Amino acid sequence: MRKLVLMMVCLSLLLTGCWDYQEVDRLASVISIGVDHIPGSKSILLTVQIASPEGKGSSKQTGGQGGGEKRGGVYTVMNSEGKSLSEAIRNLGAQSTRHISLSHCKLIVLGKGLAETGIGDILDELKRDKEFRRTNWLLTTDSTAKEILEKDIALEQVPARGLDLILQNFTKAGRILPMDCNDFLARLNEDSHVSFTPLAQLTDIDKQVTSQLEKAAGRPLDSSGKSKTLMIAKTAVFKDLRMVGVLNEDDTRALKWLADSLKGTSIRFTYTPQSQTDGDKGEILLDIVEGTTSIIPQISEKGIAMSIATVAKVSVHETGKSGVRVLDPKVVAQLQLQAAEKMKLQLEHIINLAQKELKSDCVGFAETLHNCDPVEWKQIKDSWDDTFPSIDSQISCEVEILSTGIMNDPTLRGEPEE
Amino acid sequence: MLPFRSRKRKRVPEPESNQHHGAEANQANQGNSPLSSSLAANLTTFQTVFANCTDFAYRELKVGQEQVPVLLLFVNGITDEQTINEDVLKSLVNIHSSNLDVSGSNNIEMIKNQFLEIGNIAEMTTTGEVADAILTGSVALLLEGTDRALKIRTKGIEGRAISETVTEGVVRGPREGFNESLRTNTSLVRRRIKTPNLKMEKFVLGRVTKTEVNIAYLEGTANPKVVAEVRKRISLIDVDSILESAYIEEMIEDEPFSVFPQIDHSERPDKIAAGILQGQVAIFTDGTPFVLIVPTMMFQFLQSSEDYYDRSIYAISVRVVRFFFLNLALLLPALYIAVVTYHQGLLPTQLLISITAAREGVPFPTIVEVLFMEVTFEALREAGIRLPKPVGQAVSIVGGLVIGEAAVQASMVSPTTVIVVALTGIASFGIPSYSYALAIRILRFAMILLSAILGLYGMLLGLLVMQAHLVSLRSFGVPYFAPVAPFNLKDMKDSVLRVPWWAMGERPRLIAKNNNNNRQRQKFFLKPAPPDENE
Repeated sequence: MRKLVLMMVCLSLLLTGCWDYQEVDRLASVISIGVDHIPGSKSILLTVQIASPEGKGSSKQTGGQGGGEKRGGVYTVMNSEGKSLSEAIRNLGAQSTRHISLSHCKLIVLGKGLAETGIGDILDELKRDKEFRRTNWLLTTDSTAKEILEKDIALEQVPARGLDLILQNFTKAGRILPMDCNDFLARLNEDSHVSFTPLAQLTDIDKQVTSQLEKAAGRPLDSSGKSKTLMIAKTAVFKDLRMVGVLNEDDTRALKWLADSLKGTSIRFTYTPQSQTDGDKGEILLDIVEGTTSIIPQISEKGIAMSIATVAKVSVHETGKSGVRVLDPKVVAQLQLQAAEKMKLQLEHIINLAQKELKSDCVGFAETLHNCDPVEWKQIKDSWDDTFPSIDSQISCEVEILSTGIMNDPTLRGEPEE
Repeated sequence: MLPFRSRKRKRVPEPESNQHHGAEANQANQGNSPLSSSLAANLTTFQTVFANCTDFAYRELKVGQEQVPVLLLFVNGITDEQTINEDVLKSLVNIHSSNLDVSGSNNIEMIKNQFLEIGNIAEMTTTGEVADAILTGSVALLLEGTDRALKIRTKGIEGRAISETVTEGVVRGPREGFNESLRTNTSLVRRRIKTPNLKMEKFVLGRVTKTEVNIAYLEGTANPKVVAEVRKRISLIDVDSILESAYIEEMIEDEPFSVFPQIDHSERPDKIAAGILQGQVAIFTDGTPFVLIVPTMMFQFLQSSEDYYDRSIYAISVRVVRFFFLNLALLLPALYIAVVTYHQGLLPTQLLISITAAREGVPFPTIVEVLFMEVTFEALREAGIRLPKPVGQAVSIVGGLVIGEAAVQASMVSPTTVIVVALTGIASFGIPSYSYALAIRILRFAMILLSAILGLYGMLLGLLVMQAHLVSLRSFGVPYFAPVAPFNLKDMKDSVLRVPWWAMGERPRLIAKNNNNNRQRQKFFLKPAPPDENE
């Protein structure tokens, strides 16, 4: 009897084995998923970017895989359609010789059409998948996800990995707030039900730049063969799982100030001297080293007002053609004041935009109100969409110059350095 | 001290009986027969006993004015010829006094007490004793008219000089190692521990080999229960031969079927002396430089004697590295298989792509690849040990370069597997104890199979079983996994850590006698400090 029990225990432990055995070379590791909305009954167009190991290490070419298209880097892009995302993934399996694995997926690109029709079903399906990681970045595009995923990125063999690196860098410093699935959903589940993702664009920078250069040089320049460049600079705002608008670069930066932190961003403004000795007019760029933003709701009979206060500690990055003496206390005071003014303008603009144009609370007023005054929040909760556009905001900005970089006064006038 | 576990094996000592066969039986019979008082009869007896033994020699001579016949019996080669010639023969030939009695009743005492210029003499009365004495390198002296014989120790076997240890080299520390002579070995330890409390007890094991075995311990420090247990277990051994201490090891260990060695051995006198000083019992075996030391805890196998001669901070870092190596040697191939065939999601993406690219075109599953390389590696290692040195080099070139490189070129194995197996091999050399490394080698294959079937789950299952086994093991009543389980903070000072010598205040609690006075090794607060300027 004892032996039987022992045997049963051993067998139950050992006989579970092997069911998910999978050799790596039988695996197609999806690095990125792109989803587009297409007309027709099969409304989901899935594009996957798969890292293909051949070309690296060994010189053997196994040929085109399952209708996949070989690219410049070591990756393959495959497409499939389906009524839903999981059906599309399953259809992909019909083309691929290898098991489609989502466990190394780094980001999801949402096509414009899909983002506008709603992404709830996509996120639901992905979240249910056991291989899928919720640390995947979300990226919206103003074109189609297919185009984005078919685009090479300079210096990277697998473009999706390049995008992953770009977004990772943004978490450390940068004007854009990258969003992974967790963050996106967390924001979406907050009181305002508004979230946002970075926006990837394909822009013809090269053509624009070349035409500008042609004007400057006065002769035609060769720009053939240069394709569009992938850029992440703007932000797509989602309300209730639907994209409602796009913020431009300045607003994106201001959104980051309100929603995340000041650190890593910069302020650019045109300096206007008050007197002759204070230098000339010129563009100044200040890097924000650290800073805080506080939003405090003030409720009175007149209604709700938000007092927003930012304190930024900056270092001077560029003095442009102004030639200001950055050690002169008078100049420093002016610089600080004018920079603060610029910040305030930008903040006002984004709040205005959110209230009037997007009509979605991407600046996080609802959450603040809920935290500071839960009783009041309960009363206005249901009518928040109507209340939000009418909320007043008082903005006060403060800028403090901490350092001037590793140089003091500019040497533009040929004066010897002190 | 934890109670001794009752030993499952029943070991009732068989009474000396006539069950022994052949030559053994003859000897057993002789053991009982007394010597004759006739020299000629005795000579005939021994000539019969040692028939066809070319190394058996005897010398008849007449001593003194009375011309008393004397017979010297010895075995050539294991006796010191010089001692026989200069001390024994000369003293006998030079007897000129007429005090010897022709009837021979007192002669043996007179020769023993007055004439022989030799220290080590004993009397014997039976033929068996005489035969044993001759075979262990003594000269037997027989007199006409006496039924007693003298055993004159002239042991002079040609042995290896004390030389540097081969298996346990150190950069800093004593260089001498034990050799094959038991007496030399005990002397090397005695030289280090100059106290009468260092006791050495003699056992003779092996009915045919009659191997001398000594157990050495420090009275007052060693746990008397352990000493008694060692005595008991050794005295239960009844075999015909003991040629190496491993014979004894296998017959006295606690868990004979465990893969882990439960008794440590060393050929370093300093290591054995250190063990004795902390309360362990050393078992010396004649004919081998390897001395056993009990009780042994697992961590001893991961310590090298040099740890105690280097500065403690370095010793600690080396031990940490060793523990890391131990884990690599045990788990790396298993982890590789588990991650590559079951849990690809655990790999960094870049690494996954590299591994996939490396595996592209390899026809076998990863488990086959790994086993193939591991077995090849084991074969190469075995060849490296057994083959003569010049051939060994050729083997390592053929094995390492040709097979490794060519196998990768031919897409038989992936380069990643080669790296994993090579790393495992290097890691396994990081374990100082050879016998412990053998256990890890075996377990590595078990882990490989488990993780090939069940992935990380199987690996953890294996580790769990292994750990359960480790904590249940005991070596002579001392928990094998101490001081970690059962946890003992004070004993941790010499486990993964090796605190400086001034902080080694106490002997290990589980080994030494459980008595406060005896546990303290040295004065506390010996930490050196710069002189006080006020003084």
